[in-house]
Amino acid sequence: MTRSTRSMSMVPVALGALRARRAQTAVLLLIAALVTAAAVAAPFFVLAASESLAAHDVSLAPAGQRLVTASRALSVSDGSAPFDQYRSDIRRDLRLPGFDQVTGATADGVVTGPAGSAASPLAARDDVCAQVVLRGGCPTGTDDALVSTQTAADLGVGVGDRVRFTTPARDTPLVLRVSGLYQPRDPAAPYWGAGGLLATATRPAASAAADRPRGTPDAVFVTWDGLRASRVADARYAVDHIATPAGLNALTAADIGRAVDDGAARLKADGYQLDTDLPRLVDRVLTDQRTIQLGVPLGAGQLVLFGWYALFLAVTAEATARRADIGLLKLRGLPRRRIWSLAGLQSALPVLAGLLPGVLLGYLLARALAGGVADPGQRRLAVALAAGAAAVAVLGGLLAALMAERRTVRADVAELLRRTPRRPKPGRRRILRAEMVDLALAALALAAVYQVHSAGQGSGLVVLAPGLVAFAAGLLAARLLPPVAARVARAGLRGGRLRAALTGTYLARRPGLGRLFALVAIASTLAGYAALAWGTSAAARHQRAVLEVGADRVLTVAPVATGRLLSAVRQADPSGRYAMAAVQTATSAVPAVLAVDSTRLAAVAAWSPGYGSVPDRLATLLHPPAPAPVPVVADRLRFTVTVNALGPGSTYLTAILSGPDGRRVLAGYGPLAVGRHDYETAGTPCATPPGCRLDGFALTGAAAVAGRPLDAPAPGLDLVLHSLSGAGLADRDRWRPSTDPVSVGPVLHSDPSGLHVTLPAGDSFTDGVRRDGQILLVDAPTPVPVVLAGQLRDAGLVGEPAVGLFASTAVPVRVAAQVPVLPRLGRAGALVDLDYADRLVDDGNGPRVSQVWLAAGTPAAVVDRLRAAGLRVLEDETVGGRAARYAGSGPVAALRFQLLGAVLAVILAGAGVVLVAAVERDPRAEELTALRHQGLPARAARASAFDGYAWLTGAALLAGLLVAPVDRLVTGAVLPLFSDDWRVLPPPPLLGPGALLVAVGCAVVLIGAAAGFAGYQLARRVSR
Amino acid sequence: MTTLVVDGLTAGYAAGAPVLRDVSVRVEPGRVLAVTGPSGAGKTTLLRAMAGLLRPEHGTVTVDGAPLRDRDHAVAARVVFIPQGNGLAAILTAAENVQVALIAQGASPTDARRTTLDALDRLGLAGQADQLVEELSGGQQQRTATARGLALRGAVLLADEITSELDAQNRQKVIDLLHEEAARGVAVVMATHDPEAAASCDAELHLVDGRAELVRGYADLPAGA
Repeated sequence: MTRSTRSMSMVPVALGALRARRAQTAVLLLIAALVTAAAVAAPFFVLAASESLAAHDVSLAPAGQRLVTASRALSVSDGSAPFDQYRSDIRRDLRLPGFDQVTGATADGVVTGPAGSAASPLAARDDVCAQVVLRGGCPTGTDDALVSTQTAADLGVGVGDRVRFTTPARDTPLVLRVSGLYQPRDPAAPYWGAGGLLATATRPAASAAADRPRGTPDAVFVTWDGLRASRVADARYAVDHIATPAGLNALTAADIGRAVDDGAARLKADGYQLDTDLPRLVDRVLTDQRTIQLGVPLGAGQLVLFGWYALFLAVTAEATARRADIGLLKLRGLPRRRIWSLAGLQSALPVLAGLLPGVLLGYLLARALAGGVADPGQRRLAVALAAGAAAVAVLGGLLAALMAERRTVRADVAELLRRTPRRPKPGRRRILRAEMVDLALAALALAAVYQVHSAGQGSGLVVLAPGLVAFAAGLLAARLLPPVAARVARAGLRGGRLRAALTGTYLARRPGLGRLFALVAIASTLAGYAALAWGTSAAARHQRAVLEVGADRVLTVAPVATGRLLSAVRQADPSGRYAMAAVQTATSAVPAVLAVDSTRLAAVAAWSPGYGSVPDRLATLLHPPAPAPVPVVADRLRFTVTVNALGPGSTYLTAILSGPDGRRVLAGYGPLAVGRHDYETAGTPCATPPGCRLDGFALTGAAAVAGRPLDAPAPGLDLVLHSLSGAGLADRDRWRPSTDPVSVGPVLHSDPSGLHVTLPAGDSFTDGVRRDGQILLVDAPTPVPVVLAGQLRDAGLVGEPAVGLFASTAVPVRVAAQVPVLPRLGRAGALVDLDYADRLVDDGNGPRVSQVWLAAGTPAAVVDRLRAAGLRVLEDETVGGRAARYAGSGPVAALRFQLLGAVLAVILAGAGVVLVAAVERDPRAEELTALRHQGLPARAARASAFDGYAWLTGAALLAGLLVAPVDRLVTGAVLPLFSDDWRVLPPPPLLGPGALLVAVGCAVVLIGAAAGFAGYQLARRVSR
Repeated sequence: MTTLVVDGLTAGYAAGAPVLRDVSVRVEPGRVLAVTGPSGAGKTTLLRAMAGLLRPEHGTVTVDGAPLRDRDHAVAARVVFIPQGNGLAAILTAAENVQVALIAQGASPTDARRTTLDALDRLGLAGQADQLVEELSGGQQQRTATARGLALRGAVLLADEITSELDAQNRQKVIDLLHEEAARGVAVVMATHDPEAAASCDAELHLVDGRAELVRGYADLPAGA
């Protein structure tokens, strides 16, 4: 008989033995399957997550980061333009396969209709009609134009009306027919390019957090021929390349980065300009890839190692149970190789049988957590890698199993026939191989911890450090089990406490329990560590989202006058508990300004301790007492004015008021005539209480038109303002000229007759200084208090500080407090009271974002009332939504796999408990039954059955969950919290009790269930 | 002084014919009863029934007139049982096996420790007290079990084949110790194959195929004996 046939002949025997121990075999198979699953899941997870992360990064990137814009100056003054040539040049110089392309051209100018004008650019853009909701028709003729509904309202035109487009580069206005009115479907879509086309379009972000509409009016769209026919001399031609998941993904990211660099150089040489923030997106994609390509395989490798250890433990336990059988076979002289094949087959067959379910489970787990691998090439790669990983896992498992069998097969007969291993004789203690392994592992863990503190994230042993510490600590803690349990046993016996004595004896003497202890301790450490890491990550994501969003929910609304915004929000939420108006500047001016209705800040804003102050205190600082506003309640506003002298040309007087709904109200008088006269205007909305709020007056050279800048009258003006509808104006302290440092306003003084206003003579002006005819009511503190994040010098606030609120006129400010961080602004910016800011400056047309911040639990009715008040919501963002966006990053994907690994490790440990208990059930039941016959009470016997597993797993869980925080503290966060290395706020604490409690709960439930099952099975076997 | 009476006992194990059929015997204090018979005759079954480990199908086992309910009742009635195979917990040492049984039956830890050492010493096992059961020879294990039985100082002592692995000297020592127990007023039952050991007893019950066929030394056994 050949060797192989002899081995084959042992297969039925081995199968019979396995059938006889079905439960143990099933657990062994489960462990093998979990090991294989961990190995197989990793490549599928990495490649699927790589794809989905890149797609996630691209789809969630600010539009500016998805754009690569190649542009050049364009003149169509002669009615022709080489559009095709430009397009061809750009296509040749910049190759970005898979990117969408949108070609457009714009020319700045002013479009005018019967009711007003707007600084709308004239634009031609590919397929614009597909991107808008259209009323009317798409432009087809050269004089057809699309006008936005907002602009059309400002201009007072509808479909079929005519508008005029004027530009400095063109002598005569271009007359266009409004073929349709549009509203963009998605103003934030990258289709609209890097800004300038829509009032609400995004602009290239200076920071990752900035998605800020600008205040430029919406463009007027014409056909390409229409643009050509406009003969504008100063236009710009641009091709926007828009990154898509197909074009920018895990496979192409590095190439795309290089292609942009190369293309920029070629385009520059050909006279084109390239603008892009894409490299930031490419960096983020690459960082995410690196994170999961490093973190996931290492996590899987760690889990496979753990699984092999579990397999070694399980096979050792099984082999221990077969010791007597092997001993008898040896006694009968069976050749060693046949014993080997019999023992080896009993371990190898379940390990091999675990392959298929393990592969399936691994694939399904990866698919559930990261989705499928879409790219066929990547799918083939995943299959190949998974096959290799499965082979390694199974071969390692077989090796672990055979190593476990080796001790049994090589033992002598006398030893094999013992149930309890021989105890080392005193004085003959020597370091065993297992102890050498433990010590080596401990040394490796120390080296890894050292490297964590010397090298930082992502290098060498650093990523392995948490796992190494867990293994080393678990194995070393397990070494304490026998001596501690022996002491407990002795003390129990001495004290007559049989439960303690029997449990201690069991834990101290039963072979393999040290390894089981280590298995449970390591699993619970891994679970605790993973939960802590996840907790820190989740807290960081939440903290970042809170900072960047500002409140639980923030609605970005279409541009609206500040007073109207304030009024609408206050009326929608009279209680002040839920909603707060806010306005954020959207320019790159320093410092960035966020104006909030500070009386509601504490109630509405979501606040983090890292901001360095509390909102109540800041609100108090931002909103000191100020002179009361001057209400005007009258249907007809009558002005009494004495004009002593007038300059050349006409002079008009305009009362500037804020209406009851916050809208700006201009009441015009004039032209003024010399002498004392009463001027009257009607039709203002100030008739019914609370009436209007007087903001000031303006002396102008022409009748004031809403929405247009006020032009100042000629110098030489001298007049006295006596009263407005009966309200006296003689208090000089209540009036001031404009605070704009580059303008010179009127000279003011007062006497009992009224307010004297004089415009300086013309020769007092110097270049760069403009005249200003505004006389503004002092109803806000000046300088206005601001809370500053960042340094005074960086914010340009040293000396006599002034800030351009809403990109309008600069107002003097006083830094009331400096804090490390402010909501939405981060580490640099200024917070100011919105009401005071509104009183201090004209709204102007500066780029800004109007927002309504909503507190958690805001009733839906509040939002309904906001909409009813005419606020148009452009964007609705929540802290949860923003945090969820960050949950799709590479570090979080790696953490998710780490959590999966932790759960599998706990299941493996539970399986280990069940298997060891099953193997030792017979001898333990026999022992306890024997003791029962000698008078051990039934209750004590049953309690002993449970106590052993309860104390073993309880102590191991406790050890693991004590080690986990230590592991976390000594190894820190080995994975970055964010792929863009965001560090505006200090990272959350490494240890979060909540996360650890969740881990404790899960581990206790799973391991406790296994221990309880084991104890129950044993107790059932113990004789009553 | 406790008397154990087996009256018309029919007993066996689940799913099988009764091992004992209508067996009656009285075990009196101060006397040693030998239970003999070939292998499979029912000696161990009889002792297990006397120990409260086996519930009678018919008949009764009474201790001082009270029918035995179970092993816990037997323990309470101070019926000590030294089983065949010794009934030692392999995970405990020789001394621990004795000590645990003593404490389980209500001895104080101090008394248990002292009594254990005395008992092991009487059996010549003072040097093996701290050895695990599997570190003891078969004879030492048997003597450990005997030491435990003696240490418990019961009113009834049931010893099942406790001399089978002993050398002649130790066998005699064990038999002497059983007689000493009887002299103390204990009712002793010893199942044995050993005719010499049986002959040294005050009475003998011979079992053949589960029936008591030959009785020596008891004139006043209940009917059927």
